[in-house]
Amino acid sequence: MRRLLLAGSGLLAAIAAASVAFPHAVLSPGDVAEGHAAIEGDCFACHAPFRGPDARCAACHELAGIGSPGRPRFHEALLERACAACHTDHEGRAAPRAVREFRHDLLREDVRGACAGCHLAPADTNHMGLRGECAACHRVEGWKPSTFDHEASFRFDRNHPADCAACHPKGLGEYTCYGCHEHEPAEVARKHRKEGIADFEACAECHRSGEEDEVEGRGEEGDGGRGRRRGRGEGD
Amino acid sequence: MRAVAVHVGLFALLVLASVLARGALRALGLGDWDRLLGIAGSLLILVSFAYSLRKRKIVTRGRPPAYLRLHEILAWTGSVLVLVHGGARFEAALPWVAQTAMLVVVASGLTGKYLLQRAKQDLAGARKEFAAQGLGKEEVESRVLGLALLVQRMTRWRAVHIPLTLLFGVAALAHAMAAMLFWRW
Repeated sequence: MRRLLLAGSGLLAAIAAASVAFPHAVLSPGDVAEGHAAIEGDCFACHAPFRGPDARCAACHELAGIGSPGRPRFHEALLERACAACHTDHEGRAAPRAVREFRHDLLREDVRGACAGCHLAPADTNHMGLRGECAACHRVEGWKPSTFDHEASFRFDRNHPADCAACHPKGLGEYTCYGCHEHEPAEVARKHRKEGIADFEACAECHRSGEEDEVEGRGEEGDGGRGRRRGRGEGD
Repeated sequence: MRAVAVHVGLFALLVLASVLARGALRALGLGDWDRLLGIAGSLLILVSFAYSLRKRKIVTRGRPPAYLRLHEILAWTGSVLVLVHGGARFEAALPWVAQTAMLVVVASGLTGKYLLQRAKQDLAGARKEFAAQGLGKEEVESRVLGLALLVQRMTRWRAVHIPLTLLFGVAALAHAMAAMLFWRW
């Protein structure tokens, strides 16, 4: 047993000596990237003992400056400095810089919700007039698939088909119920005033469908003209 | 011949199982588990050395054959996990030496298992032969006791297996120390 311990200690000492003399050959799991080639022989230039490489990246790489030209720079907005979660090295001189795809959940919450901070607003008609409401249809996992629950705002029916331009002539960011013979502004105003409703411009806030009896109230009587509503199914 | 095939098969199965498991982990996007599997495999191998403690009477409870069985199962399983951890990477000498030494130790262990099995068969054959000569039970046992075959074979085998195990153990320890030194824990 004693001989074994002695032999083991000798072997360990020999490995330690070889590691110091030839660190790259004994310990390095592969060539470092081109940008790190000059410091390849100095392991501790990147690796802080027992704390790994994350602790020392920022000594050379200023966070605000990280990023490709023309691409959003987000490294300052990361929740934690865990460089090795996305980047690695020792994968060869020409290895890609990032080994994982960017994920929005790595960003601070305030930055994560501010889509326009990194993304340009789409210029198509679907998105005209929309500002900062991306999460209503899109998820951070990907632009597609996108979803929009139109029925939460207004339910289509035979008289109100899904003809976007009829209600959204200026883009999907805004709508109007005026423009067809049933909803002439003067007639709409007359009917609402007769009911004592003064604020009737935001039609879909109370009318979630074309059903005349389906009116969702938001307040009580005497609330400044918004009270004379009845909830769906509450009777006449 | 069948016994040789079984032991060679166990070695081949070790390599095959690790290749399949590594491929499955990659396919499932669980490549990060490599490091954990290396730790788990090393721990299993370490626990399997309870057999050596029992054999040297440092541990006195339990039956040695049960410890030997445990040693075989845990060391084989642990080796699969370590192989999944290491894969076929040869860039750094230290982990490569550790992994190669481990494979040689597994091969040596399977050889020892085979030799032990054969020695037991020889012993049983000798007993049968002495009994067939009409010797009494006590006489058979006293002659068999003098049969040094088993002891000789296993002593020679241990002279190879233990130094190889030492090389593997020290290389694996140095690799673990280097990983701790350079990585974040």
